[in-house]
Amino acid sequence: MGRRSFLRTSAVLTTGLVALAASLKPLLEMNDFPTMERFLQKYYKEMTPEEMKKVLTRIENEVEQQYKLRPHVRDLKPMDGVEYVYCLNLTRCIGCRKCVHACVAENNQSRDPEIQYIRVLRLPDGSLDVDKAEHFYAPPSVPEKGFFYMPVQCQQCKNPPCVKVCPVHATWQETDGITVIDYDWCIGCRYCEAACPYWARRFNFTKPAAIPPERLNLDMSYLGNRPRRQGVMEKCHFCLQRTRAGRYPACLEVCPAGARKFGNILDPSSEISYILKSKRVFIQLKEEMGTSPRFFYYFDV
Amino acid sequence: MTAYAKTGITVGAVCVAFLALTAAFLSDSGGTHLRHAAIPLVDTNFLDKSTTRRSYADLVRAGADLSDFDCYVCHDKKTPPPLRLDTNQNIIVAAEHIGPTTFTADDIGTNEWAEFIGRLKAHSDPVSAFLWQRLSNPEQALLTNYKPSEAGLKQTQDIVVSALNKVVGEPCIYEPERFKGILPGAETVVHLQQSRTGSNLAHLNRLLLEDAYPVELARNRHADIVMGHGQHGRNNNCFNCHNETNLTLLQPRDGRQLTFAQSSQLCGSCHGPTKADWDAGAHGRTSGDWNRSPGAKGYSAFSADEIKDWSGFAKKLAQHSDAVSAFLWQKLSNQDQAMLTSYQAPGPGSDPVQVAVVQVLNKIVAGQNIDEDKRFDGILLRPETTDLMRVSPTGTGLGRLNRLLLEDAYPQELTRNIERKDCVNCHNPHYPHFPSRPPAPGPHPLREIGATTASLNSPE
Repeated sequence: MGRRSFLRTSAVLTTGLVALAASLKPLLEMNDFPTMERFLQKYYKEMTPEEMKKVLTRIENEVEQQYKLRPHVRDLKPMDGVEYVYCLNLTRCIGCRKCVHACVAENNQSRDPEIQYIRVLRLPDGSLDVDKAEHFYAPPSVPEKGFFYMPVQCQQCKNPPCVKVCPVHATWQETDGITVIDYDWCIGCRYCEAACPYWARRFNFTKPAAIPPERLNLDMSYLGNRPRRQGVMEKCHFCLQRTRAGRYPACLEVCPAGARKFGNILDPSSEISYILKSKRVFIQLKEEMGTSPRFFYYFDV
Repeated sequence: MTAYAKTGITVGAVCVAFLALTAAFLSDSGGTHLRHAAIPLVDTNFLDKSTTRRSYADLVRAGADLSDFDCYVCHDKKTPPPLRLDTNQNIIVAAEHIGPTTFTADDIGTNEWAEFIGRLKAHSDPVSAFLWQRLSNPEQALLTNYKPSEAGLKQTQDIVVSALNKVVGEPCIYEPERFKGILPGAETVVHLQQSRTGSNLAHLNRLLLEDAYPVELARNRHADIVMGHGQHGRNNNCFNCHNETNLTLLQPRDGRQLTFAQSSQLCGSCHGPTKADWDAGAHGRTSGDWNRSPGAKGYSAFSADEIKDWSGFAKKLAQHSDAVSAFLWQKLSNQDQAMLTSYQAPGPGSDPVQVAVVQVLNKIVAGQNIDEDKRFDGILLRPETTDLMRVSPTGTGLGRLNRLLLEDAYPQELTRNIERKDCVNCHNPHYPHFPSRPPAPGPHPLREIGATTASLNSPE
């Protein structure tokens, strides 16, 4: 080999090796390498109750190690004869974003950057054109004259496009209508984020951080609000750690205007059945997409 | 230039470019995560219509002492009180309904007295600092040395009451900075918007002080009569709702005569769609449990975490000195009784005694009507309990009644997670729309959703 070709080859090789090292750099930042236990964990639907119990204990240990507080992690199953529906009264909503922040607190979302499941759109009166919507509005106080507000979150579609595109079946629809994500199975490809017409899914670009331990919600659920890892998707799950235990979601309880209504559509005496039966106007957002949301917007007219 | 040289330059340039990119990548320059704009909470200027006092309708239904509300101490029965209107055709509320503007020592409760003096002494809030300035140096010294047990109470009271009355007689004491963070009542807001002169001014000053010391100072009983029902002003006639000839009754336009305990029916006679929503549980705020099927937690069945004071509850059961505790005690097994006698509560739901007690409670709830043998005599029952007792419910309704009775018997120990409310619990009937009031502090009062009536109407 001549001197010239040796130099050329070594320059190319060095560049290639440095570029390879640079591409592996994110591994240096990764500080939660999966344990063998997590790596070999079975698919959620294939786990036996004993295996699930072990997994829940593992998660409790992991959270305790990180936050020095022991959580209570459960795997709540859907109730029989229950299908959840959410209704939101657009006449009542005043756009205060209390729901947004209650949701962050309840569901242990990353605080920095803050991940929010609910986006409150401010729309000019007399239009439902979401192109005219603004969600960074920050007036001194709300409601403002000439505007109305429309909170948007996961619509728990009956025909969810996000579920269809998941290449590893890490997200699926449960019998009570909630579309859930197994954070231990998600590979973070973000296909579901692209497929969702409501921009309801959020990706953990960085390691979810800055939840002060005293703010950590210790009532956790495997498919719900247990802390997530970097590189996985998350989204609203109707607070399943609350709703599957019979309670209202956090966003509903905090709403100061009583705009949010939630319940079992299969129960004819529930407030949800009453609203859908008797309220004159209600819409499903982007219903032309054929997603058939379980989230309805109605008016007091 | 030879072909070799050209190739060398090109490869060299590519190498340099790659190395630069690599260096940039490794040093993370420009590679930080794009930050989103913060999406903060926004202050609300909406109307929170919560009243903090117990509504008159609730008092009537709970059989409380209503002697202060006797209209016919002053009015003649069957003679409608005359309505007086000002030049703008607004009703003039009689001075007797507005109440005295001066304070007396009785306006500060015995228990609240020390707290009130403490706030004055600290004068860390603007209103207390303002009152503190109105005191002379000897008076300030006297208050500084005040001790709750001391005998010089009368003298201290005189000083404070005279300072309060001095302030009431001054020009309007309202300044936005001074009253920042204080929740104004409906009547205060209306008086602030109206003229601030004469007797109206003294009244306003008193209301402002009452708002600044909501716990310490007694509120004027009739001071919430400000006329503002409806935004068009056409509904401000007293007799649109009150019966002209019998002031203890309410009168919707269809001629029915309703008691104050039935006030929601009066509201519903005009606000029909809202009443229908309310009956179905779709109006206003809700919290607690969506699941109201029989046996669901929170509706009739108890869970361990709904017993908020395990130690107190166990103690009452172990002593079983009242009829209800004796009844529960005899339902427990000997083993559970022994464990309860020396009970130290470790936390909800984690030990066998709690499981046993909850099982017994739920068995009782699901069983026969427990209101027998005068067991609940002497216990203050809530209006919804008495309402439900009156219809002798069966099935789900009976379970609900049993739970309500147990909750009433142990108000400190058991969670009352659902309470029935009237329109007037949240809305001021004389002034349903008043602006600029932030939500009241503390947990929101919970409200039962039409389930009681729905289950009563079910065929079971």
